[in-house]
Amino acid sequence: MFRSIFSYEFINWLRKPVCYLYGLVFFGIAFISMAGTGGLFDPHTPAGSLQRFINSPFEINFIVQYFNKFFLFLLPAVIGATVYKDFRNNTHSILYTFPIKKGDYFLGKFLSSFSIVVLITFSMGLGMMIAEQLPGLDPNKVGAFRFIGYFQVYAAFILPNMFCYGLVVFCLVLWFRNIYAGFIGVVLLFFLQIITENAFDGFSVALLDPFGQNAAKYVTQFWSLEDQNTLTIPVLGVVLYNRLLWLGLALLFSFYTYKRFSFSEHGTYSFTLKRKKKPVIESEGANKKIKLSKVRYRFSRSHQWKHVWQLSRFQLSYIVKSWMFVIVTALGILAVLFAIGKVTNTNEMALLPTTGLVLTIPAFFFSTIIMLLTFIYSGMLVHRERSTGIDSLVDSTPTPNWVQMFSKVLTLLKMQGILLLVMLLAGILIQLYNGYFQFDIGLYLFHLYIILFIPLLVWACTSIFVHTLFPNPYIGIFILLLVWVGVGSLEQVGITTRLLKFNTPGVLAYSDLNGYGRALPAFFLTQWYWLIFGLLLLLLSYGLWYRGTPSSFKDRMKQGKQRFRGPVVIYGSILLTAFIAMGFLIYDKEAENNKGLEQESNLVFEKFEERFGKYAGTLQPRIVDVETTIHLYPDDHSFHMEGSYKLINKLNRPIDTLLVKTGFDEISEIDLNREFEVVTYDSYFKFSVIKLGASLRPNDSLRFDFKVKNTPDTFFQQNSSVLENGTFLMTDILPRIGYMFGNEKLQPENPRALQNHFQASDSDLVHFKTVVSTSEDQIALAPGYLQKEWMSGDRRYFQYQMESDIKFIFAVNSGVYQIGNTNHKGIELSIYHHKGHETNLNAMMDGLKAAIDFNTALFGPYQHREARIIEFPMSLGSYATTMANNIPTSEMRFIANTKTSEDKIDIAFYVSAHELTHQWWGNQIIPANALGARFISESVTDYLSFMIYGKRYGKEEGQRWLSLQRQRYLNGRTPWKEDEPPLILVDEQQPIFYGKGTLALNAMRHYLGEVNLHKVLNDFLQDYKFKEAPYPTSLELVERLRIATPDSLKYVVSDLFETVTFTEASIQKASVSMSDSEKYEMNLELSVRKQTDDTPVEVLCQHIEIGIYDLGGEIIQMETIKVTEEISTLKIILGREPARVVVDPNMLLIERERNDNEYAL
Amino acid sequence: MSLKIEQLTKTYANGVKAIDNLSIEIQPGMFGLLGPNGAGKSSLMRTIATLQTPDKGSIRFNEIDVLTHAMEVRKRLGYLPQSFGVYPKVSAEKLLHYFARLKGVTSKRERSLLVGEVLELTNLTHVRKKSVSGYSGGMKQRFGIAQLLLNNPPLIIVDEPTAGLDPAERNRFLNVLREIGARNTVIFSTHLVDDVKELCNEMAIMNHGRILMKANPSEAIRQLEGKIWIRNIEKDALESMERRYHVLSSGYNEDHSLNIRVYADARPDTNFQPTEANLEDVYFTVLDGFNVFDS
Repeated sequence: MFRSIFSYEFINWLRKPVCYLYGLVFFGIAFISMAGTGGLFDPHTPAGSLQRFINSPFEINFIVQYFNKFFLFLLPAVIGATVYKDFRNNTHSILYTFPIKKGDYFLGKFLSSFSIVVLITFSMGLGMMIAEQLPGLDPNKVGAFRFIGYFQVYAAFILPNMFCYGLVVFCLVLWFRNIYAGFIGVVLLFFLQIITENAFDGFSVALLDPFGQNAAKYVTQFWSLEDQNTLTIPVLGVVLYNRLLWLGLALLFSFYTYKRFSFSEHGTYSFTLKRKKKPVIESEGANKKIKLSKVRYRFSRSHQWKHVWQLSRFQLSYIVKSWMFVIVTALGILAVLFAIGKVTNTNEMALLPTTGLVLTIPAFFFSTIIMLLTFIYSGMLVHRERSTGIDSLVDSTPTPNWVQMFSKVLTLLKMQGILLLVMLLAGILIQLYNGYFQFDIGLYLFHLYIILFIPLLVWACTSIFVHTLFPNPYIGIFILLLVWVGVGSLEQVGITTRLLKFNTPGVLAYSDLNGYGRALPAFFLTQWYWLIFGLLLLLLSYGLWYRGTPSSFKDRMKQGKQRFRGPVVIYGSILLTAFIAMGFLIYDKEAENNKGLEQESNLVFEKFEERFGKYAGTLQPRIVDVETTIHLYPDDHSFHMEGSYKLINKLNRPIDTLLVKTGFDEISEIDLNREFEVVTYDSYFKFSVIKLGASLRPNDSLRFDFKVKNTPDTFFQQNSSVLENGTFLMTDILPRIGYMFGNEKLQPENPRALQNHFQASDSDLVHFKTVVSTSEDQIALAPGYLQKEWMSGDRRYFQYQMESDIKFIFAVNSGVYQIGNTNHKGIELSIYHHKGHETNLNAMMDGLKAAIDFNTALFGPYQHREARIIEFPMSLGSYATTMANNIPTSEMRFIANTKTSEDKIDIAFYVSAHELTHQWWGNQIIPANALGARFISESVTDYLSFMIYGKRYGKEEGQRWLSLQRQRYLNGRTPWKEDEPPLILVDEQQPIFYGKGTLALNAMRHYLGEVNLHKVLNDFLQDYKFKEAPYPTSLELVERLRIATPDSLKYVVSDLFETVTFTEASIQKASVSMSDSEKYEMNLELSVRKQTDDTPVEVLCQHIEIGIYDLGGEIIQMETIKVTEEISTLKIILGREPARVVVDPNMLLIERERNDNEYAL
Repeated sequence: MSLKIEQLTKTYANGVKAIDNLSIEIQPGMFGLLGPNGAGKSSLMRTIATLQTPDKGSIRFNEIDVLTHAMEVRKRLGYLPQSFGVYPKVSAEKLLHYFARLKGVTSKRERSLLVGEVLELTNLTHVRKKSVSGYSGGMKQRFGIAQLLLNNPPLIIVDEPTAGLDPAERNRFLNVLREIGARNTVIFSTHLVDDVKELCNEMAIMNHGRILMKANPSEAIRQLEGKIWIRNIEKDALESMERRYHVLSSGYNEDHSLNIRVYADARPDTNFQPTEANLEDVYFTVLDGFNVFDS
């Protein structure tokens, strides 16, 4: 019996064209995305450069796992449909009376459809395999063909997933006797994954992820690019446990279903909330002769619109009053709560759940779920009459099609509205929970019910259309998914125009300071365009609307033609005209983006180098004096400025050529106080080569005047950096001197490197003076001290001047600010912040004060009389930076949540301490423009901030901070294409110069002693304080450290700073026994393995700390031992009973794996 | 008040000619459409009920062109299809409210009144709170009648409503139908001759998409008077009898012998006894293609 059921179903599927459609679609998607990422459509990378292989097992796993989500929709469409068709056609009432064994029925149905699903999923792998053989791919991106990669991802992930969740879907459809239960089950699985991702991390999420995606991520998290290109994913371990766990759960669920399942005519569970009614007993009664009362039958337009509303209420109760919807909503709330939790608790900091933050990522994610539910429920609604068989009754009533159609659209909108309301409540709930009471209801409503709702509205129209067009709801859902995915990947094949990117507005970033910025007009124009398109689709749906029993598609087309009459034609033409008009408008506005990078950026650079490369070594005068007048117009998003530089020839020969690069996004004019001629000008890079009429002799100076204004914004593109509130203009708008391209940092040994400091190549320290004007409600800020403030007309003017010379890197800020002020030891500290962002002002102030105290004691006084923290919108970044006496700090840091962050650090305090410490490390001592510069400026600063932090919050907190830095390093080091640099050669790799830098310097503090280390630092600083070229390099600092290090520990300097060395220590065995006289004897077996630049090295002489703790966590003894072999055993006599032994408790070693460092006795 | 169908033709996509150049005029009262399964009755009724468009021909109801003014017809139409489903777990009362709205009764007060009346009329008041999906066959059919009455329709189409009903249910159902048939045009299709006999003042017999005969039932029976003969035979003899005579129908006796009814102008032989003609004889005579009626 099993065989006949199996082969019947299997062959039945093979005969269906839709089967091949599914396969073809996956094949095509796989083929195109593989060819696209393999560089078929792009210029190839330079020969020999290390690139990510598109066909490494790692990458194959990555791609196929992504598509796993779409495979999941095959489960209800194929496996679910195989069970469901028995209920739909009512064959179950006959079938169940046949002498079929339950097991045969179960297995036959499941295995046959499961095999079909498996075959369809194979089309994807096949597509990828063929695509990777294509000629014309970038050879750097394609490794050798390795079947194992495909085998692995299918064997370990795809097939188990299809099997487990195929079973689940099979059972759900069997329970509910409703195909949509299967689709919604898949959405619920998505929720489950999101919840696990947001609620857990590390090993737990790897174990609990229903699809195993995070398990693969976990076991490959520390892989370098080299590893990613070569290794296969280790499937033993957490991947296996994950698979076994979910397989077990799925089997348990299906076994339970199997036991409970019986061949009865009525379903086990109903889809709706009400309990099943008992069959009704007939009672006798005579016929009464009643004449029906006269009632009014009304068909006016207004009554029909009322009818639309009433019908939608009837339809909505059907959706809402079902278990599935309740579960979806409940899990949806959970998922949103967890997603908000994740957004407000990033790896680095906890944030307050401001309304803006709650609404961006979490709400966008939730609206995607609403979209998926729209795909499903629209199918349910459109096909509802026909699937219940009530259609012939309904269709013969005098209710017009448009009433039916609009009632269904309205029902979808109501469902979306309800779910958005759920989102709103979840947001407020989490705000309440965090004790944050500034709910911005206006913003909630605007963002949820306008920004997110319009795209959902378009999806509702589209879904209605697709489901009206296709008689089969699974195909409809599949097509809709395809549209969604397809539009998302348009960019991959080079289509960027908004005219074709259907309904994908993306995430609109929001800042409390600057709102949505200038994104709204573009959003509305594009969304109106798609909304009108959606309405056109509705019009087509009206034409194709099912009514009665059309016998073929031709019949429906004929019906449709008849329906396009009178007002419908008028509406249609109006909509079509509007659609085309808006399309033209968008086309026109997009054409304004004349600056769009028509050429591939690599090519542009190459061309430029070809043309101007010869100027690379041209010696230039240096800027010594900067004077500007800047006029900001926040309302118009524009500015214009005049200014002048004083340039001095600091060289010993005359200069006759001046190279000038002006702002990329700005319109600039330049003038000199002597004859000059522009020899060549590159209009793309705004680079000019200027021939001086008379050459500039050594020590002679030159006045360089300039006028700069912003390029006006186009509709879709923002060219000006001036914001309505929170403007943050930086030095990139100014003209700069010299050839500035390919200006990579040099090796620190290179003497040329010492001539420039790391932040400007055309100046050392400059004198700075400026006047800034802005609108009357704003405060403008620039480096220096305020000399004068005045009003002129409706403009507010500020004049700033710096007393001491500063680096040529500064900013002008303007905004509506509140000011927090205090004076600390004669230094004026102020914080310019957005109203409402007061939570962290005290912590920030404390950070400034603590940094002043700490650094002044170590390195001498702070060089300015004032320090200002200035808030800028998070749309410009999440960082903070030091520019002379100003510290522009992202809004993100102002909404950091320091109260509830149990496993986070007080980011507000830390950031201001860090930035102020830069006044010494970065501004007093300025590193040369060589690799390793960030080691001096950032690693030392971060180490000092860590010391300041530990001083304030205690040793334990400090230790936690260290382990966060360690994590930051290990997580962050994965993606580098080049081999990872050691600290001494670090470039812009934040995880190294922050994470590893702090760890390394802290280790040095232990080895040398705090006083000694700080003396090395101070000596270094004092030697270079405020000095111009030659600037110091990392080589010198490391050398100074080496000199201060005793011979026995010199290896440490090399391990920490000069190489990438991992020293993995672990306790293999530990035992404790009581020796006589109340002493405890502990025996340890210790393993120490070392690896430098990925090659194992011998352990010659390694100092390792071992801490032994009692039951209460108190330290009993701390031993430092010298290890000379990989495995060593030792014996320690203790006075108290130990409970736990930890190797390297102070994190002095750079280790990848610390889980094996502890041993509980 | 008449329904006039002219030269109606419908061929399905699979090539089946469901309605074949059919013309008929139907007057108010109970009109029975009799025919075997697959005769095209349901296709014809669906077409009149605006659910299906014909390839050719016209239908007019009281000067309304059914094919071009479907909505106007639907306002006047009550339709009970051969089989129908309902939304699961929705009570009869709620469902009737829903249909009343679909039929244009916008006032809630009036709707409640109307729904109460049709429930009463179809004897469903006591089970109005129960969901229709749990109803027995007869109750469900009466529910079908209840929804059909909501717009007080002058044109009622019921397609094989008694199929599958037990005798008691069938009686109750026919009583309800009789009650409403008095005032309106009711087209009633069935393959059961008895339904027509009990109910209709006009009837037509349909097969292969064509109307074979249209008549008043008693008039039709009268025309057969004296031409129907009955004889008792062994069952093995049926085949030879069918070859020799126009056997209309046969029925078993308790002793497994057969009674056959034969159509003949004169008594075929002495074994045949004259018998009274009935509507079934009319039906089979027509289906067998004897053109003895002048319609």
